[in-house]
Amino acid sequence: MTSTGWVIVGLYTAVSLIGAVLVLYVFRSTRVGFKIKVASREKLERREGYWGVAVVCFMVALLAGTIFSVPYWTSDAAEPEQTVDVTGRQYAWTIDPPRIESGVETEFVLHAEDVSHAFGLYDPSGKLIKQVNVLPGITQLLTATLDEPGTWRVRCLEYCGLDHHLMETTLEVTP
Amino acid sequence: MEGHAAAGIPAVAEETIAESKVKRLVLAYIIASTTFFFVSGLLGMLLRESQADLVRLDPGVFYSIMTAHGLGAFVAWAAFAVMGASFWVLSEVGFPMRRLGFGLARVAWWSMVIGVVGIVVTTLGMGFGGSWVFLYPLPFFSSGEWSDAATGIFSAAVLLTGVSILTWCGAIVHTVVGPGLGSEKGPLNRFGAALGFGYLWPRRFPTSREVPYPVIPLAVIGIDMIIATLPLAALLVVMIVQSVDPSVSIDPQLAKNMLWFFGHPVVYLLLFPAVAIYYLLIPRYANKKLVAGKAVAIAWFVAVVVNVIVWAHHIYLDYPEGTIQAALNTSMQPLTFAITLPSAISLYSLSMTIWRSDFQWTPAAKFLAAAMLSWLVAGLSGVVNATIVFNGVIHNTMWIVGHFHNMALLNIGMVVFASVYAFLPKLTGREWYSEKLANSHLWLTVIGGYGMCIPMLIQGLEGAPRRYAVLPEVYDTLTQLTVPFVLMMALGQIVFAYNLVQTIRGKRRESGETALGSLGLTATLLFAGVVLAVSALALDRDNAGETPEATAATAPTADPGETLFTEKCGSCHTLSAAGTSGAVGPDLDQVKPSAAAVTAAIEDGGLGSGTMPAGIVSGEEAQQVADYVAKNAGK
Repeated sequence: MTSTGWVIVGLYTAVSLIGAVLVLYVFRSTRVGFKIKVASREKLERREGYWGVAVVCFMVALLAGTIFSVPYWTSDAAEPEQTVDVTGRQYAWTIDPPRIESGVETEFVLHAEDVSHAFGLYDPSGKLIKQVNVLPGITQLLTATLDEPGTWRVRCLEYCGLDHHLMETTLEVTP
Repeated sequence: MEGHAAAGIPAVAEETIAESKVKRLVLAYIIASTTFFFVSGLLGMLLRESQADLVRLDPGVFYSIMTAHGLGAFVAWAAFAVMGASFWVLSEVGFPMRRLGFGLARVAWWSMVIGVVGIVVTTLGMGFGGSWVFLYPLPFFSSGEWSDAATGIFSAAVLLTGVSILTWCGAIVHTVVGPGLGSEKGPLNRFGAALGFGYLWPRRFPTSREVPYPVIPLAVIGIDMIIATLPLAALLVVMIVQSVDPSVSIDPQLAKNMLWFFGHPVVYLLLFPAVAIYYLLIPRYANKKLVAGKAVAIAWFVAVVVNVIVWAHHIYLDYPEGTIQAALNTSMQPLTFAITLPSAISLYSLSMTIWRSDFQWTPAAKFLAAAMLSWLVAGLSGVVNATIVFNGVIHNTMWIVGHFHNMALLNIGMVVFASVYAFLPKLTGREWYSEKLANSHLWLTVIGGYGMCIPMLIQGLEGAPRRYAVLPEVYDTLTQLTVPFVLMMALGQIVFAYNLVQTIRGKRRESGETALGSLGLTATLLFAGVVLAVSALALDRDNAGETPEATAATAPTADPGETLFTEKCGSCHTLSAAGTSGAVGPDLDQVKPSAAAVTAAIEDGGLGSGTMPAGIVSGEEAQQVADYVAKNAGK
């Protein structure tokens, strides 16, 4: 799993568990013996507004923490040091050149010849590092620095027909 | 359009449809959608067991079933079921149907049923396997698996389900502005009141009673689905025309945007009516009014607007050069975050309604409680999807499959079951055959469902691609782990089917129904599920043991060239020795190429048209393939 993957696991599991425990606590409160005092309806309705504000704050915080890392427009920053042409067609990839240097900013120029494909880059240990969709007839750019030398795998990640699951190839990354 | 100038509105309320007729209508929706549920559930089970290598389906069959399962479970079951239940919800909160709305509701039923039959025929019968999102232009690039005619008929069938959605919207909008509202204003103002605007601006949207909360989400989705379905209908019309006249086509990027402009709101075609069911039933079981203030009205006001402008969060990873898609996608993250509000506020309202109440834990109530939990956790995995940085990790992976099974099956599906358990006695005048069986249904579905979804989520985080007939081997363990859970869930649905049939036949089980008895039955069923699964796995292991021996007998020297050829070349080239029959490239039995010619073709990407990509295999592997082809072509 990638580091972003672990962030998802941590955040998602923590928030889900807290939420689930709270909801289960609410269900449990209906048992006899639990109903010692009843919160006034007005109070609960007023808290609805506070809860709404809390949700908005949480979402704004998540937005602020993530929106500046979107993968778009990164290629403007600097001239890439190596360029790789990638063409996808049912059911094979053509990668030119098939051998690139590690640790160097690389721009992938992607095309699809027939239907939509998606370019999924797996590192030598099998982690999905980068992916992007490729629509037919348009150029899609993807900038990445492949740090791990070895044999990387490219899989098609957008369903493209009968042999979609066989549409893969390798990319050699030299030290 | 407003107030006293209501010339078009009859002074006396238009004649309403008798409740008995509405009951029959809703019953027809329940019966049809439940039938579709059993069929599409079975197809889904086949898909997962094929991935787990219990019954390995041919890829063409796998992808056809995948197409049928997606549309069947999502549209023909879940959407169709809540569409029908909505009419009963409105009836229960005092919104009778009138002639036009009732007529539209019947048209919606028929067009859905005919459309679904068309989908079944074109996928399972004619081999259409373009997936249930039929991403343009894939339906016209079938590799010979299905014909353009199949694509045309499939598109027409999906268009019919679209017509069903549109007419349903008409029926809902017509009913919510009807006499149940108690408003003297013009139609537009009345619709505003049905959207809950009266909670925010009571003087501008006056009604003789407070608008019942279940009406609001129905009004919201009733208008939004009209807006969302029209562009999809246009895309489907283009596809129908193209299937006859290939010179017609549409830009793939535009087509993808049109698809998802429908694809996001259609999720809420399931969720919002489900929320209406929650709003109706939870207060009933808690024996008090829904705890809700102004915030809920604000949330639905946000929903009605934002729902139709967040589609591009489904295409975060499309941002081709020279288009505005990247900017559009970026703007979608805050908008999508905004639409968590109706869910967050509703969950609060429902929880606080249950809080310390005399809650009646009927089977339907338990299904709703389980559904609320799923709504929370699946909603949160939806927030992960909506965050662009996270989306880059889980896009196109099994995580998405896990997320929407969690949402559509374990939230909305559970609400559908709750509505069947709650409404059926009223609709048929018959009590349920057995409450015990209903409880078993609940536990088998919840445990089986989570046992199925959680491994999908984990596989996705580990990069397992979705929509693969055969997953890469590293993911096999987790896939096989889900098999017992999938079977457990199937068992739960058998219990449900039995209970349903007995109820409709008018049977009643009168034995003392203790919680202990229910537990015993559940335990027995669980045990049966585990035994089934284990034996299935053991059976599979036996088969796995036999297959290599059988192969070894016919081909004593296992040639790596043959394996490579079958995997990498066979889908395009015919070679009878390898048993392949691809028709994209030249028939190698006829060409009988030399090893050198094969090596050259592999290196340069074919020898003629340039269709074949260069470097499909390389180095020693290329040599092995070349030797193998040279030795075996024409034999």
